[in-house]
Amino acid sequence: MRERHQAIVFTAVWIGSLLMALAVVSAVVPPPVNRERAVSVALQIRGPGWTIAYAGSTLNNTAFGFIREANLTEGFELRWAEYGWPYNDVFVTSINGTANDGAGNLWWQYCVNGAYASVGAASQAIRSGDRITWAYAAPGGDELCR
Amino acid sequence: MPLSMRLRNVPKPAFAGLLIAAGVIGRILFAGAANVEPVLILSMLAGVLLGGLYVIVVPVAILGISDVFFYTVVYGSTYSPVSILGLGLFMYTGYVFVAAVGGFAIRRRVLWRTKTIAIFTAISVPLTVAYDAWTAFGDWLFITSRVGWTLPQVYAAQVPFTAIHVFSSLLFAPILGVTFLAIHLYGLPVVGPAEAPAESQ
Repeated sequence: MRERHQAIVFTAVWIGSLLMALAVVSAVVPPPVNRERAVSVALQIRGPGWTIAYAGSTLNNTAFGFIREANLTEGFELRWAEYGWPYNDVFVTSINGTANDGAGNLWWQYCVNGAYASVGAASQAIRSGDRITWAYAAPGGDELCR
Repeated sequence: MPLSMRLRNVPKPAFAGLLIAAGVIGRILFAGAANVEPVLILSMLAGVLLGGLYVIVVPVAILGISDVFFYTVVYGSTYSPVSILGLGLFMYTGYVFVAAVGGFAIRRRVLWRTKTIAIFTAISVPLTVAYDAWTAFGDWLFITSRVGWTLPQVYAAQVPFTAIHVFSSLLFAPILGVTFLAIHLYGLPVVGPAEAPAESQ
């Protein structure tokens, strides 16, 4: 009987701990971006020796959503790895045939209005008039996008 | 011929094989959810239920087999060999540490009791935090310091991932703990021919 009582108490504490941990996870993960129309958005992708430009109005109002739209419209190659719960974000691995190169320390990174990204591309909201720049370079900061 | 369910004792190497198989499948299955993984708990179980060399064999085998999958299929050539080996060193030693401490903490108290699972689950939390602190240091040393990050920046960025990892350990500890403790103490259920009743004299 004592063992059964302990099992019930443990199960209750276990479920409570899981819910608490879930609450902490939800609090520290960026919230999803609401779908809204953004007009006059400009995208520039700077590869080694090439540049792709794309502009327009969009409902794909995240940094990744907009480059994905450009990828489908313009037909250049785009690859990415997906991160599931709880981030639900992406890691862009290759654009237009140029892949991330760990040995050479060259990676695809992005800026919005000249400011270096601080969140994953699928969590970065874009608004009307924003300029998004993707650059293939050694990791840096705002200077990457100037 | 009538069949019946029996419990069959599992020798240590086979038990280690079960832990390794569960770890490889689980790690690949949950790869999409960052830091949700059963390897830490299975490493602890190797320390608690098997001990000895299995403290090294089980975590190293789980990581070694699943890493072949991740670095050939998932990441491709994204990471340099130096980064892979460097970070790998911290991950492998981290899990071996977890297995050793888990075994040291409750090896002598392995009984079919709620208290065993409760202690096992409670210990998994600080071990998860210690493991994350160790591997974040490795991440800084071999990857993020090369891109200009400082160690405090890496630890600050690690906080959400550690929160998820603690959630993962809390989730898996009782589930895997009860399952493997039962197999360890009572055996694995197998179906086979029913034994003939003993003849009376």
